[in-house]
Amino acid sequence: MAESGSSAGGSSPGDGRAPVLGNDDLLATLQRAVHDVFSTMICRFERIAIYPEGVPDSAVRAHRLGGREAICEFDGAFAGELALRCSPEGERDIASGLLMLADAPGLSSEGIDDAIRECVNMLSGFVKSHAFDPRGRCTLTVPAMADVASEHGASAGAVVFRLDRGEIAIEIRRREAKAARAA
Amino acid sequence: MNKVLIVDDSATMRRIITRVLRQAEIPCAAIVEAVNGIEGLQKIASEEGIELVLSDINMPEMDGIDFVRRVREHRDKDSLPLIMVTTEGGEAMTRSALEHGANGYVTKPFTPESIRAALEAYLG
Repeated sequence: MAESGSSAGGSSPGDGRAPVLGNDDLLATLQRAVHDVFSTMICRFERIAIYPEGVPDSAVRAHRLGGREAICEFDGAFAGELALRCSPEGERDIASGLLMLADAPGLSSEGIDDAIRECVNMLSGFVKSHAFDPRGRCTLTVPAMADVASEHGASAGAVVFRLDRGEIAIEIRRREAKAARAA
Repeated sequence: MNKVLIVDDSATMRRIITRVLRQAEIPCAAIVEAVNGIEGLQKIASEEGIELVLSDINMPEMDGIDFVRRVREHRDKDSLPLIMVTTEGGEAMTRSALEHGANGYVTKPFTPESIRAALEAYLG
């Protein structure tokens, strides 16, 4: 499993706009978001990998990540999205943690989806408040579940965490040029 | 306290808040739920005994800021305690909620202690 800290840095446009946030800063804020949300309301977590260009297909299989993800979109000071993708056990870790249920017994798939959406909502809210709002007006959509697209915005990086029983990947993408995911 | 209204589009969060109110030993006779600001307004108009409202901001149909503004437009509801419980913890959003009439603000994720601290002034 790859772990690397090198990625695009920030820059100042030179035209009076707030500095562009670099990928290193985005990933650092993302990890702080996970610490804040998971340690307060969900379950234990352990960072196991960082993928500066998004999770490659080989790692998707290795981490057993499912074909759907929960997404919140940003617009304004940052244009892009935050996506949460889980293994089947990772989904149940989040749902059972939030709802304080042992292994989320009897929880419907819609109930689990709702918990995943709320998780990505909290992560996105943290990132927005700490990374984007200080740089200018930024809006956040309500969270939604979607099939993982073959093409999406340029990845600012993804971080994979192991929870109690499963794994999750959280990725920030910029809404610039569409780019195919790394093979 | 008679009834508490929870306005949030997430069923998960409505369950969490209900549980946290219990953990924080916030006494209330009943919990009323609404999935967005529109339903929240309907519940306030139709349900007797709502004495406290906890509302999200980022919701479909009608967001929490608009919901607060509409509640305060009713003269007989200008004293109803209204606390925002939301991921939107930025200064601008906090200020907007308070300017439109919210009485307080709790940022998600939250603990029973933070909920209790926000509601302390409104506990009978």
